[in-house]
Amino acid sequence: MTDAAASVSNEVNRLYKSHFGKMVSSLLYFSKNIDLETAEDIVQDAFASALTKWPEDGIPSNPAGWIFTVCRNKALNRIKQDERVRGLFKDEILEAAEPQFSESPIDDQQLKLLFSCAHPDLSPKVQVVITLKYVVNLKVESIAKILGMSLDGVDKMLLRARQKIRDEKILLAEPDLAFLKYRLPIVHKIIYLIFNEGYKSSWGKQIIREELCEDALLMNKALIESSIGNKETAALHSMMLFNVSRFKARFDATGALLDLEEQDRSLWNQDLIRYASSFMFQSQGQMVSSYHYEASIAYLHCTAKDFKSTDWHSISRLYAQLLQNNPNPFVEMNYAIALYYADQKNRALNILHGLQQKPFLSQYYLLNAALGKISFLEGDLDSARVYFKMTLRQTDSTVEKDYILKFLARMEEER
Amino acid sequence: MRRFLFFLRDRQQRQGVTDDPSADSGIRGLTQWVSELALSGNYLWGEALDLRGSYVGKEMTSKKQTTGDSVVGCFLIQAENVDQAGAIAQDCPAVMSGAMDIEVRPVIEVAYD
Repeated sequence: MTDAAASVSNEVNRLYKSHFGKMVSSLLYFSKNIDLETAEDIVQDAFASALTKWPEDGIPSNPAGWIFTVCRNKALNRIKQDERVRGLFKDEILEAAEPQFSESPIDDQQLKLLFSCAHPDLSPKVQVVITLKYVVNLKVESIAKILGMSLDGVDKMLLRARQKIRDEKILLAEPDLAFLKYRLPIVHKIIYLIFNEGYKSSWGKQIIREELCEDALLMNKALIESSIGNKETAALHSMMLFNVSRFKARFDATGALLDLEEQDRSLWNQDLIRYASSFMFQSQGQMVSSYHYEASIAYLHCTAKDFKSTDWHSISRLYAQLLQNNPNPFVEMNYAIALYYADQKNRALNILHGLQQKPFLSQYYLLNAALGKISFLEGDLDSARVYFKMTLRQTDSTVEKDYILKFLARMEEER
Repeated sequence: MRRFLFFLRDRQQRQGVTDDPSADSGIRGLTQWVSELALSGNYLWGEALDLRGSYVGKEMTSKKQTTGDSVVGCFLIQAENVDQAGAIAQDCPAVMSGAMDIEVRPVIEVAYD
């Protein structure tokens, strides 16, 4: 690739990442005769035109405006081509002026799109998929990779979502204040879920994961700055920042997964920890949400000198509170692990063994990995081996498998 | 938030967990779905059910052996509304693959003012 072609390709990718959803929604505003699939096709086409035209003509001074003009012309051609709507076209007032596309990472138009994606009739997973598509502006291939789904699976979800978007004019709705307040918790959840997808260690070190965490932080920051955000937004922000501060320490130089106990704490980013603390302070008020509990747990981990001196008693109490808000066996598992390190071994083991009897939990990698490690710490090597071997069948992740194999090898050495 | 009971029906009326590796990955898919629902705050409770059981009525008790529609699992889910509950069921990998159907039933909650 020549230098010119490379710089065009970079610029087009950058624009796609910041403008795809906004262009699609602007096109829907532009004409009511364009459906969502057509709008998406047109925007894709316009980006493809840029890739062929710009290397010869040079990158225009207003690249986003250029692409939107192409979109608008392509849309007009489509409408004119369609005999059936020609009659309608005459009556339609087409907004000729091109919309102003701002260069800020997340602008008001994207915030509106984010609230549109938080439609309560859609499942959380579909909400996440369409947010990644129209707000984070990822291509279907990237979404599939991030969510560990097949292309076909993502396409099916988008198909279902498009039906709903069309029926309810989801990308077109002009949200009012009452609507924003009602949807804010759903928006928080979407950001939380996207962050979690980025933070999952099972994928190993991948740039795309870090970027996803950044995207979640950018969306949440925009909420805070927009005055729509509340104390819960600040708590979510602080929770995400505390976790991000440990990002680099989670893998060693060879890319192997390190658990909390093995991590080099000097690699934890102290600036981010201080920054996260400022949002935790900002989040204090009457309302205490799950994000507050999770942020507090992350704070206690981040500020502990080492694994042993971590305040596990407080952490277990916070998990107990979290469990009251969100009663499910997965939180219960984390509660039990905290109890174990807080010297309440019997209670912890009772809970973990109870969870192990449940059909879905018994197939859960993290539960068996935890039971394996605890059995190992308790000197019950036979049980540890059984649990660890079970986990090897329960994950496809190479880093997770390697983490377990490392334990099994250590046990062989200590025999 | 409203609560819903999900009844999972196995289309092929497969016997619970078998040594069949595809059945194993089916359970893994369900575990994944359940863990995601827990993270999004929608999952409350769930059990897998043995297909062997009995029908009990006033005049009869019969052993039931995988005949007719076979419920293999039961979940309690909370969702914003009936549409979201349906959408959550549609995301279930076993439903997407066509291996299972889910019957979604709202829990009747009587409000006392």
